[in-house]
Amino acid sequence: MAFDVLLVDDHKIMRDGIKAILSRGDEFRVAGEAETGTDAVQFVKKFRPDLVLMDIGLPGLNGVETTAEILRYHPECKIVILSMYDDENSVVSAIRSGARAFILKKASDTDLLEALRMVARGGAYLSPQVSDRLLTRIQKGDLEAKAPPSALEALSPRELQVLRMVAEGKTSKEIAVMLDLREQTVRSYRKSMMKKLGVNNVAGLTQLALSTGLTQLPRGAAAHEPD
Amino acid sequence: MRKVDPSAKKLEQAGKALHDEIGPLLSAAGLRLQLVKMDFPETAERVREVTETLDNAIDRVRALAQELRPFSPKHRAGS
Repeated sequence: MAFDVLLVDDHKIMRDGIKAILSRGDEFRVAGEAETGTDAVQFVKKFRPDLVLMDIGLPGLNGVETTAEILRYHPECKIVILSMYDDENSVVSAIRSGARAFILKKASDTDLLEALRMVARGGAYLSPQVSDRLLTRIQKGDLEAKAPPSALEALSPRELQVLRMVAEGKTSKEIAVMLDLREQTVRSYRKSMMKKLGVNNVAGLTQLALSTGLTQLPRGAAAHEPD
Repeated sequence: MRKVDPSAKKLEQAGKALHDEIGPLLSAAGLRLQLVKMDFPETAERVREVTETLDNAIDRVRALAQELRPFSPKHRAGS
């Protein structure tokens, strides 16, 4: 029986290409498509696909955050992250969030299918280019596990997620929609973070998020006080 | 309030277009090439050559996009 796959990419042209490759065989069935992380989470909650093949750079809730969200609701789901680039930050973040595979968009059809097969069987997969680079760095000894910045150690993964979004200027309402939470719950997270971090307002949270490198301010943007 | 240099803003927009639009189009072209190879295995060598050129283009686009908009949060998340 074919494995059900959810495709998540904000570019239809990419989804169409992957769908065409999967349709050449009978091992995988495209059970659905989503353009955003929020839609992907909703789909997974309802239809519980075997696999999710997802772009890392989604607008709004990105692929890493969406992975963590999906696994909260469907821990057995196997998630394969697709990325245009193989930078270490993306690879490590994806694996830490629970993804079982990280493949480059420029991977061949053979690599893509091999990754899906491997993950469907309960294994893991990294594009050869990605694994070669990681191996080299580990051998050189310059790949160290990065602990969360000390000031943020007291925060839960969910609070870190909300903090990053607050620092990017998102309102409680927007964050609630993205994470499928009640607005009041997001406000509670903000209050509890302020208490834990000893700051009194959103500007303080933003400053801390920026100074610890949790997020970066887009060029030309100014920190503001969303609701 | 901080004044934003219009030319800097245009460069940033160009970087965003390269990263969010041109990059995915090049990746999609690569996927289409894989399909050609699957349907016509005799083209494998030619497809490999074109794929290499596309990969170079993707790397160049990435470098340029990063140069034009190094502080974008989305950029940090791979994509």
